[in-house]
Amino acid sequence: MTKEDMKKEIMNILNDIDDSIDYASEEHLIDDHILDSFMIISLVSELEDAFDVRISAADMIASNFNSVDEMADMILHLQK
Amino acid sequence: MIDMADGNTLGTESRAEKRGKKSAGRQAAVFFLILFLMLCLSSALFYRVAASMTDSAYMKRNTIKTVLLREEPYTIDVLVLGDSESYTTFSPLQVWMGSGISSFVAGQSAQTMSEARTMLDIALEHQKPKVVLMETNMLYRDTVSLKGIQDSFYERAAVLFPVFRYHNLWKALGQKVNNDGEYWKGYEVHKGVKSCGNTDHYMEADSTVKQVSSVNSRILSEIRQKCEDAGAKLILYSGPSTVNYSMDKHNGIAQLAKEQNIPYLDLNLKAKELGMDWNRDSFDGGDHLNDAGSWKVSMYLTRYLKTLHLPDHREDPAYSDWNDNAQSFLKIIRANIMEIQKTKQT
Amino acid sequence: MGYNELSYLLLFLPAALIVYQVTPARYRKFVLLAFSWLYFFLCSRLLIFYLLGTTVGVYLLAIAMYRVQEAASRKKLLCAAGVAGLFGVLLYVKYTNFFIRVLNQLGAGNSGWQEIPAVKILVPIGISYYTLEAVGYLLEVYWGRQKAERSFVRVALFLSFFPQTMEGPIARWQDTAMQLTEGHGLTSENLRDGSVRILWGLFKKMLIADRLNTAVNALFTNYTQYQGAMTAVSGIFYALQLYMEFSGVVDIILGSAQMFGIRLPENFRQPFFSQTASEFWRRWHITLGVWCKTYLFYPVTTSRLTMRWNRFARKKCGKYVARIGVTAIALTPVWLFNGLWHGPQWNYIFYGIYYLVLLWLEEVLVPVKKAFYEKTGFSSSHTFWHLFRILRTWIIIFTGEMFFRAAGLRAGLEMFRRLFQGVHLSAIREGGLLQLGLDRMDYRVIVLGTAAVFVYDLMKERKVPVWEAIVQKRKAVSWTLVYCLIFAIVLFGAYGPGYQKVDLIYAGF
Repeated sequence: MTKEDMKKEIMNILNDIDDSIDYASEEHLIDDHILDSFMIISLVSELEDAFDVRISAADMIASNFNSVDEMADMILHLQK
Repeated sequence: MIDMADGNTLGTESRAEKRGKKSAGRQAAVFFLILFLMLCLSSALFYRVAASMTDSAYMKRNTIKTVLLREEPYTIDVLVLGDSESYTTFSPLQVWMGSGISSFVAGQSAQTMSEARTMLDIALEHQKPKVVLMETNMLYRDTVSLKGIQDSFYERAAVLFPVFRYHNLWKALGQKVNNDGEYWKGYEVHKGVKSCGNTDHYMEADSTVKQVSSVNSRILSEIRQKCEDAGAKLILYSGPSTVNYSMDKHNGIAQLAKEQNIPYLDLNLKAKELGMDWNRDSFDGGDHLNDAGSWKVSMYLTRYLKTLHLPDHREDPAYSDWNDNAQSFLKIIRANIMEIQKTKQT
Repeated sequence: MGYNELSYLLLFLPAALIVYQVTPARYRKFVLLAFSWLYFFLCSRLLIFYLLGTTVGVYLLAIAMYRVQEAASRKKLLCAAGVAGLFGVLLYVKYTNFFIRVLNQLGAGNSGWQEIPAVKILVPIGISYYTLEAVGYLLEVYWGRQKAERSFVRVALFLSFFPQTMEGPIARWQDTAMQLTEGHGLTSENLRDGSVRILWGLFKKMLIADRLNTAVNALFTNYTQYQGAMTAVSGIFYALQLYMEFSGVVDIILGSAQMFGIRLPENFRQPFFSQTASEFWRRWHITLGVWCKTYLFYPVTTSRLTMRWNRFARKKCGKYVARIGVTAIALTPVWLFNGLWHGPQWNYIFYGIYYLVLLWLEEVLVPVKKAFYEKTGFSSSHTFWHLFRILRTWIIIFTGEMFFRAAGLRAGLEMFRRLFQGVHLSAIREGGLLQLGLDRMDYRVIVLGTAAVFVYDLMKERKVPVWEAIVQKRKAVSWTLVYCLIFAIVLFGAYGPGYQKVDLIYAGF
């Protein structure tokens, strides 16, 4: 799966959680409190299922979730 | 970026930076100079207003200072210092009725030794007491801890800039003047009764010595010196209090008094002789005395002061208002003591 | 030695600044550490050994964990031992007597139960704060997000930097550790801005919080004498006192650190503008919230158990149930911890559960909220609705703080009951407020002071850089404002004879 495909898939998941946000342009999803902690929990479990990775407490930092691009990077890193 | 004050880069500091630093220093100096002047100015103002106020109730424990300043100059022969134990044991107008000796209690609640020293300074500006009677409870007030240092720090600041002491004056603005606060030359009237409970261990024989802190004993010797310089005789006394006194404290004070050659009178040891009734003579369970308790103590102190050959002013026309004052005081005190005696034991 | 006291502001802090500045840059970290340990010693004397023990232990454990990097199970064991040890000490020091009391109550019914006597344990200053920092650091190293620190001074300073000793802010390693040892020289900007922030903190504490103290004491001590509106006033006054006190002292703390060029994490972001209880907790005591989220909430939510439930519930019961289930699982430890962290009292535990329920309800009601918005056309940006939500959050806050301050849980519940015994607005109109030891002039000062704080907070909320704008103005303007601030404190501060000294509230936790 290319990174672009991955980003599309992540977008789908995000839109499923809350479709009122323009995820493509947001780069401070966490810092600006756009995603609250409960949305992040749902997100994490969906990402784990979709990409077959294990996201642990150690990965729960703002810079992994601030944008769709960063989420894709984190997943790529975890898949290694 | 070069960090201006970093030791390693000091040599490379440019001229502009140096100039910037200098002007920042100068600015700070000007800022603090103006602040200092404003503090002096406001202090002078507040001090004046405070001294001229007729209503002192809002100033709470500072009241006594202003009341003291309002006493006729050079009329007081016995000045009493101390914390709340002083103005609940020594009753100047009772002493007056029994002996004609003029006295004044310049005690404050929770007075510290350094505050007592300040109080003495203030008194000596306008008065020339022959005897300074100091209640000893404050000798054991905390001074070595930070809080002690803090209190004496505040005290010094307040002497330098009275605005810190009188800063509460604004509270009186726009309020109607209230003259009902009567001051019986510093004595505080109390008619409540609360039994002291079990007093079996009060002043129980004990040879241990509870030392007075070095700070407090140093201040005591300063006070002694000040009294000596002013021609007054310093005397220590401990008012009866089951809560505050015990034998080890007595030993500590007695030892200190002996070292500094100051006469010491411990009325706790004379509680029986005075006829203290620990079920009725205190209004808060042995911490402070009510009017009935202080009556007994002041009787004793009157007799004691008489032995010091202090002048009797009762016939002196300059003191005529003392007689009037004493009459109204007596009325109140009589009523209070009657009430206390009627109180059932609690 | 509280941060609002003269001995700190006029002796300790200036002495630290001067010694720091005259010392060559690379030794400055030692100066900071020496003063930090001195501060601790002055507050707690020999109990400093708790701090020293924690520091050495954490320092060595982190290095050991780093060394066994490859052996995951040993690393886990070390980390678990460290966290257990740290919390063990905290529990021992703060909770032993609470457990003894509970045991005695449980055993009282049984015959043959011998009452366990209470033990006397002295609590070192700030142990609740530095323990959390130490645990955070260990977890960061365990997760591999931070390297184990080789410099002992850095670890020691991270745990003991003197402005933070008494009441936080609770820093994460990445927030402060590096800055503390940089040894930058003092600059006039930092000194100026730092001292102005200290003055602002003193303003909040001395004018408003300490003045309100008399009334708050009266209201909570004699709570059985009040009902209706007056009981409501108890909650409002205490919430106001606590905000002015805690945020004021944090201003003094952050200002002190700023004088050294060190930026500590903020602890408040205008909490009274929050629209929901959860937002309030992102703006009030922020560093405790961040700590709980980073080191408690995320580990719980990403744990296998939670994930398994989530997957299971999503399949069987749908997303909504899964979501509120996970929310409950994640919130429970966080809020029990938050309550207990404040101390071993039932009303603190109740306070934690109170917010646990409210925050959970917030999640449960999300669909209702959505439906409501769709039907009415309201949105959270609608001015009226926005204000309504803020007011609703205030009621939640005031009620919570009433339980928090009450003299025990029973008193808290009694006060809550009294809230509904008639409105009794007349008690306020007929001078009930003047019976609390405060006179009209006191209230005037409180109202005007609060108004000043409100205006400043509102500007910050609107992202107007107030102080920066003032500094850029002509000197006459900025200096006048600072002089006004100083004289406001000198004249209207509740200090000196006639006022009861108020100890720092959060230093007690």
